[in-house]
Amino acid sequence: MNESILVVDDDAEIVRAIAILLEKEGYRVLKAYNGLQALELAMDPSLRLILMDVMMPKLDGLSAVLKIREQRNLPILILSAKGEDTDKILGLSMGADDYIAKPFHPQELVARVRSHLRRYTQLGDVNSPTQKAELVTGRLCYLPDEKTLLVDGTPVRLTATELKIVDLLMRNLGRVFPAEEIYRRVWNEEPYSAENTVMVHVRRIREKIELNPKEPEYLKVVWGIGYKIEKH
Amino acid sequence: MDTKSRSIKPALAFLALVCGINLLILSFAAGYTAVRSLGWRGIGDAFQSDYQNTADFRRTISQWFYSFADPAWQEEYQLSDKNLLYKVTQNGETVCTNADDLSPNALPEGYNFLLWFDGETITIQKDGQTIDVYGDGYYRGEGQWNLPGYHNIPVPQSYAGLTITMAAAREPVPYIMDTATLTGNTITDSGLYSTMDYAARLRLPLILFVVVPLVMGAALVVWSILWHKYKVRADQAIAWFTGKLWLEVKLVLLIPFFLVCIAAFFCLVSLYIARYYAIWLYLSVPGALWWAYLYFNDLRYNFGRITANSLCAFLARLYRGSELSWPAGRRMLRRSTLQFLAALPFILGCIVVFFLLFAPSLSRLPIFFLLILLALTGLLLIAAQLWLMAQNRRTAADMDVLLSRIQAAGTGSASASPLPEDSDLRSAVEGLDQMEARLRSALSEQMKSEKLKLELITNVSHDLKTPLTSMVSYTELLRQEKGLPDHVRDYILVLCQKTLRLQAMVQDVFDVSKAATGNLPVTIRPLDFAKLLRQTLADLDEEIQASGLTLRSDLPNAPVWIMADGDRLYRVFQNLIGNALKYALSGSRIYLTLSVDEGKATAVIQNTSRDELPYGVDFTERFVRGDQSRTDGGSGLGLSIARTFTEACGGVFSIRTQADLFTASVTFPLTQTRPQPEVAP
Repeated sequence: MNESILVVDDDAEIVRAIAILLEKEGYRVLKAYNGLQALELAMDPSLRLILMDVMMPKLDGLSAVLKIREQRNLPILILSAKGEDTDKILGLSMGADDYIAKPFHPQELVARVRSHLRRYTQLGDVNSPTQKAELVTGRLCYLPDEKTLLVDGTPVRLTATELKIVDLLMRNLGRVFPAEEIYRRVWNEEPYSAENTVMVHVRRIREKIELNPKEPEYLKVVWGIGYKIEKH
Repeated sequence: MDTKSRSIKPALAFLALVCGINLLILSFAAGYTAVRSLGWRGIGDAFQSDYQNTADFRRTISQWFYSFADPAWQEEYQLSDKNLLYKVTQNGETVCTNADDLSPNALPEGYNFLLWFDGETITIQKDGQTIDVYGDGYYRGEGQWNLPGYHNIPVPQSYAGLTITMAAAREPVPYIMDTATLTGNTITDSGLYSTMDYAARLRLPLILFVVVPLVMGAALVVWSILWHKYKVRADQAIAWFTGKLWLEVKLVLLIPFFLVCIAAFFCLVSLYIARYYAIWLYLSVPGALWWAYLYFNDLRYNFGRITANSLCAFLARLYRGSELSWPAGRRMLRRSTLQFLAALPFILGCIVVFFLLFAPSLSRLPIFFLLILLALTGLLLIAAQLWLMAQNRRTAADMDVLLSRIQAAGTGSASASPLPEDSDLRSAVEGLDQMEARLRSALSEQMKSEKLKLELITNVSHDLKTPLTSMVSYTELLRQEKGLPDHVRDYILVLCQKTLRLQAMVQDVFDVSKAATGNLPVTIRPLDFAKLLRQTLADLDEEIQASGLTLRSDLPNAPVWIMADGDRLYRVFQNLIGNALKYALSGSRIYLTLSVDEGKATAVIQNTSRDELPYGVDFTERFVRGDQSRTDGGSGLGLSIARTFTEACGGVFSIRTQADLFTASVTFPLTQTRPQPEVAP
């Protein structure tokens, strides 16, 4: 497949580390150390994804994203040491697809890249009109008839209880369920130590569907209220 | 030289005006007196070089003519001096003469004036020229020859056959009276000499007292007019001096001024009706004039501040000046004392008058005047009381201002509203101002340094992230390396753990700095405090299990609704429980309780510390930990984050230590708000 990924960062060591990590996964890596170089390399036809730092000499990452977006429609992931929510929002509004705060965990970075690539390349299949009933939120796709959860298009193996919880939450995207209600509807019993029981399962589901289970993007705890799957 | 002329020229101009006006007054007064006493003709005579052209001469000659024509005089008298020669004949016979050979045809040596009466008309010749005596034939009084022969003064019948010849000397000489001839009816005076001498003697005083002062005065006045701008400066200088005088003095000086004015008026009137007094009395005229000038000049330049410089104002200033140096309390006390003291003599006066009313021997009139005086004093007293009341009222108002200022200063919304300078509480307000200013500067400095510190923390944590990224990435690469010896793998594991710890610490630093700079976004929503704690415990269940400690929780089953940001509050308890797990004595119990009391929900975490807790340490300060050695691996920010996050959500965070018992409590007020039920799509 030999898909190319463009890594842009003014810190050469970071570029090298990311390159090694991605090459291990079988991707071809193009390296750039400032925005202008990134603009040149972004025209490579084999390019599938871009990892872009924000603070760089000559041309900063956000401006580079804007210019690349004019030409190309491919996933752009922002890498930034800023990590502020406002920076995140700014980056996404500039046309980036995801935002990874430094220092990132290498596994998470690779997972995100993989996830975006899969979605980017398989998007046509997923969105094809052959689909029947399906519930989609971001990387997750739930097929209620087949009781299957697809993450980046790949089915995830869930236990029966986990599947029941996912079924409940995916059918009611964005709605917050108290632990007691989840317990009642999944176990069909009067709740006992509901919080702990539900939390254990939630944690397990997270490990299967989240890129970084410690900072979940989909299955979230609404503190003091309950649980929900975020609608993206 | 310039400064000299600046001070001399105005003085000269003013002096010129004063002298000029005074000389003009003198000249007019003397001139008027001269005209009154001499008549215009008399004054004209004084300046006549030939005495025979004077009116006095004409009058004298006329009188002598009548005397010579009078038979009674002819018998009784005879002129002894030779200034005037005469010869009177009656029907050709000489009746009387002092010069027998006098004839109208030839005048003797030294005589140039001839009067010849032939019994019908009079002919007068001077230096051989005939003078027209009668003019148009009518006599009109003064200035003409008062002789018979006019239409309205016909020659008397008795003059029939009478001829009179008179000759006057060109330059009369004085005749000394001979004592030997005093007996007998002989007139011996200087005759025409005195006529000439009188006119000549008038000339000098007239020139001295009328002409010279007139000319000099006019010249001086003109000079002062030419130097008008210097004169104005002199006026201003005088006004400056008079402005220094108290108004009261000026008012009192009005009395003598009016007296002088009356005197001047009196003088002028008496001058007009020709009655004369001692010369010093006439000085009142210029005196009144220049006195009036001083008043008008003062009014002209000092009108606006006429009351500013008065005895009353001076005394008031003096009083206020001494008052200002006193503290406000003593000032008010002194005012009330003053009120009392002022009333005292008034009351005493009343008592005295009361007893005087019953004194039998006194007449009523003085008592009446005393009563009037007393009433006036009473009015003054009331005025003084009103003034003091106004002062105290103002002080009371100022006190209100001060109190509101103090309150405003307490709430930090102070606005400087200065009190007037003479206010009693001025010093207090100034002190308050200073206090506020110092407080404000201290606060702003503190905030500035705090902000700087936080900016530094933010920048540092930001700069730490870039190298951390490399560290995390490369340790991960190392970890993925295969075929390494076990001890190397062990080293890599340590590296991995420590970089992760470092990462967590940097994140903590970042969070604290965000919260402390007020940049921490919070989403306040109603939530169930008890449920949040249960969720947190469930979330941290693995760690609690792994710690070997027991966590006893006592949470109410009923919802405890509070307003907070769930994510932040979760971090608070994550930190608190994590803290407890980290520092609790192994095998001991951690207690988590949530109690509701008086509209407040308080969550309390208690644990027994493994190490001895230092006394007097604020654990919520950044980078403060129970032990100072910093070897336990915490960032030292856990409690600080807990506190700042709790406060950012609107709660109260507190920590108590008692012996080895460490107690952290988080308190939120209960709310009636419930979460909106989220509608399923």
